[in-house]
Amino acid sequence: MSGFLPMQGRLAELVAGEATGTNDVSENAELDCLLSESVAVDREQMMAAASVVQLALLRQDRAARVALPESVRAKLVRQADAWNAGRQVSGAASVADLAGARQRRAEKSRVLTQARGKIRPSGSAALGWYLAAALAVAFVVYRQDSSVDPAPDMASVAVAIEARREALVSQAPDLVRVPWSASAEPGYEQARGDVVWSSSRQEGYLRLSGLPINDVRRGQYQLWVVDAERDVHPVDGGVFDVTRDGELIIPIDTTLPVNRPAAFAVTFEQPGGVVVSDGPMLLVAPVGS
Amino acid sequence: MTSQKSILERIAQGDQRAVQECIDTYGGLVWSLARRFLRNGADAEDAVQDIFIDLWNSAARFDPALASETTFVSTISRRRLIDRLRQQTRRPGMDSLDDEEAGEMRLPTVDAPMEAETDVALVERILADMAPENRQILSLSLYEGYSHSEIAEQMSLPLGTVKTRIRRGLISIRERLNISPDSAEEAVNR
Repeated sequence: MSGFLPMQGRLAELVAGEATGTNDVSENAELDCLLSESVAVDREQMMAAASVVQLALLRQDRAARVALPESVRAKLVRQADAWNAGRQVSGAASVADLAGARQRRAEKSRVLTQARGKIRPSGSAALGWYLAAALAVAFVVYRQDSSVDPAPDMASVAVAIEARREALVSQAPDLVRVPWSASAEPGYEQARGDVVWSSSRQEGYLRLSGLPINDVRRGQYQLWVVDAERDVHPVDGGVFDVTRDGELIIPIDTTLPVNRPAAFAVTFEQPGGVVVSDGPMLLVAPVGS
Repeated sequence: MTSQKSILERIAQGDQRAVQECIDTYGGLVWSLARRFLRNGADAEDAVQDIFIDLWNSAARFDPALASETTFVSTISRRRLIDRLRQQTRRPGMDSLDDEEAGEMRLPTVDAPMEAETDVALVERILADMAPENRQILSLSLYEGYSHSEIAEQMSLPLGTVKTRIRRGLISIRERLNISPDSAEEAVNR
């Protein structure tokens, strides 16, 4: 048994208030104060009880019991992939004895995570399909037999992405090319690079250096595109990771068509990204300024 | 006694397929709770993403001997929904409905994985025995995410009365539920 003590009076009311979300700021402070004096209380059980009430009411409200929309499910699956990839990196790091081995694995994971999250067959032509297929094969090889070194394949992917960017820059008639403005966010002042985008091709790339390395278990960078033709939220441009110093080229993976980009921005979000960002814009590249 | 591992146990053991299985099994339940509680499609979508990340990260804390998986999932969901509601309150005037709303009722209804929950059935009986007004207050607060001031306005009751009835209603239900004291600390120890 735990050190559970039955609650009485005011403490019970405040714990119930916490579980029902009815405490105000001063009541939450009072609760914290009371809890600091208690060995253990019925706090979590109250939250569990509230959630059982929620379940009971949902069971009676058949019209409210709906399936997860496919668009939301797709985002969750992407998020699950990122979460699994993060855990894989974590697991690999914990068993690696040699710094060199750890570095190689991190490099593989970086390329895998970056390219897997960014390359989308539906948005690309033949080369995109090739890259995705090559990536899938490399990923399977990596998972099934860690003694097989897929680094050359991943390097090929990185080279191919760079080549695609160069092709876009040299061929797209409507190319937009904007540098990242100097960031005022602490820790991001050194970030440099640019964005290229073609609306006719719906294709673009970020080029970045100096962005701090992120722990994929804690969060990922997310690109946003402000489209002058849309008057609501910016368009999600996909998530990406920075796991080494140096320059990275990242394909833009917009969830919606972007026809008149007004600005590009990078935020730092939970693994898998978010639908609407509350976070500060770490980097901004305004078009036409 | 079955030896089959639950989804959360398998996630905790590193089974990558279980992570997606968790979405397929509990996605409808979590989404339905979020939509009803937040009454805002965009916020519900964000909340569902927060909830699943939290679920996967918390999977190792789940113990089937202490709480059902559904209770664990819904308790974590509730915490994140309350967090989200607070953010929503700080950002009034956000989109309350979106285009998805119109199509939602055409989606197939799902039998959320909670039919065998004896606690749920017990709470249904307790709610049925409650005075209709008190039941409505609890529903508006715990299920539909209305603030006590909104409920007071809707039901023409003093604020203090609403707050007291919500809290005492939950305390009364908690006292009649057979939730293990250990389960709370172990299963949802945050």
